[in-house]
Amino acid sequence: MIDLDAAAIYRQEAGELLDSLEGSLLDLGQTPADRTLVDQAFRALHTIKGSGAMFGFDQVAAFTHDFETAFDLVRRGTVPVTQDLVSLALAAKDHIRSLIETPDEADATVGRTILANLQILVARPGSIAEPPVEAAIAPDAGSSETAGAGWRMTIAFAPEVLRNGTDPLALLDELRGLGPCTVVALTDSVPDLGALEPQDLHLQWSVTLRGDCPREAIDDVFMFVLDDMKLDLTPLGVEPSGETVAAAAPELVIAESTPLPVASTPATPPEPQKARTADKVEPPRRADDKVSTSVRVQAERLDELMDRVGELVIAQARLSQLAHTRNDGGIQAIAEEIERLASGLRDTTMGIRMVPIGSLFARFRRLIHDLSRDLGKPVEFVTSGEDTELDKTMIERLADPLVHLIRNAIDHGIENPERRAKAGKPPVGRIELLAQHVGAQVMVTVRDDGGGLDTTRIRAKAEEQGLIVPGTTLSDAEVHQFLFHPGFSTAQTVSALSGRGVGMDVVKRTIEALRGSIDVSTELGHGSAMSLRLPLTLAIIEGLLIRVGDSRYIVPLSMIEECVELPADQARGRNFLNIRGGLVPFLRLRDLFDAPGEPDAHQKIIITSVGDARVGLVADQIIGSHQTVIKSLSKLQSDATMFSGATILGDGSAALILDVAQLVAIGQLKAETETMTRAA
Amino acid sequence: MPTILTVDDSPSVRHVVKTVLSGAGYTVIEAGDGAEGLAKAKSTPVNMIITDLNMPVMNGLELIKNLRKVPSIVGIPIVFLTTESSDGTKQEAKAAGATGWITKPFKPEQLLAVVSKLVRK
Amino acid sequence: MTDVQANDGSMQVLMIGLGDEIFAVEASIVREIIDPVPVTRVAGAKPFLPAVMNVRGNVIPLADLRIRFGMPCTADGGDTRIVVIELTINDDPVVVGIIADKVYEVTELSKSSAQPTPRVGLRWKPEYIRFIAKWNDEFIIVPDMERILN
Repeated sequence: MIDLDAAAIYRQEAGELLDSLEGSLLDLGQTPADRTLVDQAFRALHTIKGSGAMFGFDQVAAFTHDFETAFDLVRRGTVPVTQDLVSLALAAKDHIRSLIETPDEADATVGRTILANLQILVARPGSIAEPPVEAAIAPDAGSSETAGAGWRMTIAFAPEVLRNGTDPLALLDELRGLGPCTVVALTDSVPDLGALEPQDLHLQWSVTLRGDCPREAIDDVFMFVLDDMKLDLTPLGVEPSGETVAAAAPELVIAESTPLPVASTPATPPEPQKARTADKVEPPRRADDKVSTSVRVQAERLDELMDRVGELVIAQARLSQLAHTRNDGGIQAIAEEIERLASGLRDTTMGIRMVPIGSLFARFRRLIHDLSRDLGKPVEFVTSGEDTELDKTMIERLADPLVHLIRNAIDHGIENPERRAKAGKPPVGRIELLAQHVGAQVMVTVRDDGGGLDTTRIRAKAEEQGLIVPGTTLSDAEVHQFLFHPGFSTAQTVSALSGRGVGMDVVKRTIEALRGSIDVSTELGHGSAMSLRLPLTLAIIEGLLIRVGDSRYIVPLSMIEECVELPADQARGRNFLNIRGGLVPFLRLRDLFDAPGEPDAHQKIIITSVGDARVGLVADQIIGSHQTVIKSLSKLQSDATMFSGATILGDGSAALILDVAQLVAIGQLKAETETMTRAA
Repeated sequence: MPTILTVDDSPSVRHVVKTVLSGAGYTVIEAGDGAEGLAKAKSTPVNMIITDLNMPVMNGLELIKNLRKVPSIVGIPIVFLTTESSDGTKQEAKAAGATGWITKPFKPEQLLAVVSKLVRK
Repeated sequence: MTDVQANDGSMQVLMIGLGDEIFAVEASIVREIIDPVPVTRVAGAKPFLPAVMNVRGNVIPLADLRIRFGMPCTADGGDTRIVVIELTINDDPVVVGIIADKVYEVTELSKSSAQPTPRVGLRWKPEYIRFIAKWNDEFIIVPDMERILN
């Protein structure tokens, strides 16, 4: 009856619980005295264990049980929370994860080692000897009794059983299921009407059950109330004191087939209860009136939805274009209405895909904890802006680059405690992970208060590797860009974690593939910050449609600062523009794209920016804003680096999306060369 | 058909309860914590409530206590799910007004047995 | 690449004309044949992949094999078609539209008529040729599309 689905649900749920467990444990490392954290961790373990056993994850259940048992001592305050305990608990958490996700690869010895260490940690007089909880569940083996002929019994429930949902009549029915019964209701303890508490049970019963029936079967019938009731049992054939009870009320002996007498007695409690039950079934059921506030949706379905919306937006653009050419107010009104609906649907769909970045941040706390321990550099980890939302695909793809940046920050950025002491810094380093909205983009920053980037050393390394000619004039920002050069590393000792020169170039490529960019800022001795600027979503962007020669292109609107006309005197000659006192280099897109024909008389410049760098792009015409559904370019054309993708226009033709970061880099480089040529 | 409310912070447990019971013809409604469970039990007529004890927001014990204060819930069976079969927990839950319990992990037939014991179709 | 050949050694091919030559493209990789659509030039891409176009909502590259093989490029004529093929390059599916001056027919080439690559009189680099077959007394080149495009 439990379908395969259930195991998948469990896996997902356990994954989330393990994440939350990790969070609680890491928090505990910071504030060991926080009882709520201990309770949270305990609850997560508890559910992982309980559900695990139910879904056939027996190893998970067994291991988690032992872990939980030990952890219970912590919950009770018998064992204090220490860093060792937190580390061990994290290891145990990892082991549980591997038991769930890759049970075949999970190493049982790892589990045993963890448990053994845990035992040592929590070992205190008496604590180890604590019996496993399961022992208590074991059925009471020795008590098996049978009566070949049957049983005579008196049944006296606690007065409140009716309120608590037990239906004595149902239990008597169950007894009848065990064999032919004679049931006698005993009314001795029913008080006078005035003193009668209608919700209390005052009746008792005497039952004679005939047939070969073990005692446990009878106990089972009363299993939930056994502790609170009086149940006297005598095997038939033995003359018990109970016999006198039955004899005391001979007038109420009823045949098995007859409905129970109590039901017809108005003052007896079961009646109101039954009436209530009947009342309750009658009103129309409103089980769904308050459906749960969230649903789980498979990620692929969201992707599919986004694709469909993308197609809709493209079709809508075609409709709008067509409607424009017709002199038909009706069609134009419909086209506008559809445009409004499509853009609403687009926003909603993109909203569905938005996930708070906090889920990603939480993963790094473990990383920092481990790195800090392994490298002997105490680190305080501060996050902010966890609520900042990004497209879920974006968040997934950000994980690896951020891991890399954080590793670098601890490994290379934060100094060891001795050096920090010498520099007059607090012994504990600080890593900040921040997310914030900056215009239509999200900026994610990894900042450390370590030694900062040594520009001189980076430069020396770049010269040594032949990346620049010694003596070249370069700004600090340009020097820092070498960090992203493949195979570039200045780490003097290669640690296991970083400094192998692989990675930063991959980080840069990954971020650029997400249409984002990286800014580096640093102050020698005081730390550095790596800021990733990312678009909110990967699927649809606001773009500016421009024309260069006979082709149309899209410039992402989020990267545009302003558009100005190219002054006539600058149509030829220098490629700099004075924008409010600042010199901005510009690129003639006609030249870059090798456009045929003559340029338009009034050329426009689109001023774009990436970080602090600004570059103007000269186009023939600015057509207008355009909802841009991003289509990736084939990898066969990956050498067309000036474009980050393509889109489909209203007339059905394809237009390329400019890779502004790339163009800005080209522009900056060109500006350098020109400045230098002039200087020379 | 009887309606049963399952209150559990674990979607997988709710899923199992729902699958097993709806397969047997019961209508099952769900709540993810005690507070939500209390609200649903008040707004929807139910014939039985199955609740976890260990839950955020409002734990099972508080839920049971609060449920028993609701006039329409008096007399409705409330069963709690427990992995600790320690008598202390059971006694506490029963004192709070629980009718019975199901020990986790449970097999579908165990769940059905308890439900059919306490709810008449 | 034996997967496109049937067990009896025959394979279905689409015959296309480029300039004055006739080639065969395995029918199994052909997704569709469409009339020419407006294309968008891509600056900076390889010369034989000069443009992209919209084919059923996807932006795919246009490949001009005439440039790849150094053949003269004629303007699009009434017989010009785009043959959309799907290949696997480095484990990724890749969809490309190939310009054909003319599309002839789908036919069967039998393996027995397949010839080893001759070393004579061809402007083709041998690595671009899967094999040469005989069809209606003509030599037909079956090009290795993966190698040509990658």
